[in-house]
Amino acid sequence: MQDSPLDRDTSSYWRKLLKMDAPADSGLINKADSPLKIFRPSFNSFINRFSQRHFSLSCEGSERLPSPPYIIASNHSSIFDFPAILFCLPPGHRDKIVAMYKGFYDKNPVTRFFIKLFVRSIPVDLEKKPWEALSGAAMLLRSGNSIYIAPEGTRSKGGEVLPFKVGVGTLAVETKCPVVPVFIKGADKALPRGSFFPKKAPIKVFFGKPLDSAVFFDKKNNTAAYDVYKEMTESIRQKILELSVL
Amino acid sequence: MENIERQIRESVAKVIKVPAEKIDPDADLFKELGVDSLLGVEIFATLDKQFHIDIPENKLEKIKTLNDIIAVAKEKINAR
Repeated sequence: MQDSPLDRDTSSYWRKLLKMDAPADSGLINKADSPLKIFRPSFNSFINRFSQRHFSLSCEGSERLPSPPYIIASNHSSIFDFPAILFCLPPGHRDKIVAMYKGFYDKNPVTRFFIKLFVRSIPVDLEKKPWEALSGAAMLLRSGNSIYIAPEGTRSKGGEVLPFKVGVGTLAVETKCPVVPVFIKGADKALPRGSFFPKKAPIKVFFGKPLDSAVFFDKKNNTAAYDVYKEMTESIRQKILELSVL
Repeated sequence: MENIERQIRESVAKVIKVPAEKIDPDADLFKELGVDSLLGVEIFATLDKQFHIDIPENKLEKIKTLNDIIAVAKEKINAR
């Protein structure tokens, strides 16, 4: 069966599923936050001081960050990845960021407590209905917030960058928000997967040049939406790999 | 109806990049054919585009096999 280029544009269904044309839902936006936020400044200040002393946390390229909203996508090898990025963001950007995290952690009350204490966040059900989290993230972006996402979907071992899930490309293309590729070096040694106690090891965060998602948006006219999302996702992964050799 | 079944099978095959004749209609697309949940959405987006079969969000997670897709498609077509 030969289909015309017009038949390949499947984005209207995606946009409906991601509620791209729905008005902002303040309930959904507020759901990303938690009453624990009142303790956040002091908790984060403590973690920040600890990370400066214990990990000699350093940052490069944060001046490349555009104005919010944007998407930060990074490699993921440690639970310290997001905190490292957060403490490298300029002050005006920190309270705009919302982290997407694996829904698995939401089932454990202890991990859920610490995630909610630390940052505004959205759990992602990777297996069954990831579009729910993507639609929430899209709404947050449209209301001026930025999103952090670890597209590998899980922590890698030994610093390897795993294949990326397509959600990051979907979110970027549909919202047309710029994506900042980030490589975190050393977190896999300081606090690797399976380890509970941090080791004294340096962590450095590299911010890359933002990718323009809008140029991918128009490609959907001639290509299946998923293929465009996948191409965007691969471009992001490639940029992160380039940062990893700096 | 046989024609629509064949067309749906061909469309699904094209999206998941597997030869149409190789798809067992009762195989779990996600567990047995390695389709991830977002590629699954692309299958439903293709049905919407090509056959005007709009599968509602609350049904998406219940659809696992080609036969499930065909059953929902027939239900939608019969309701027209």
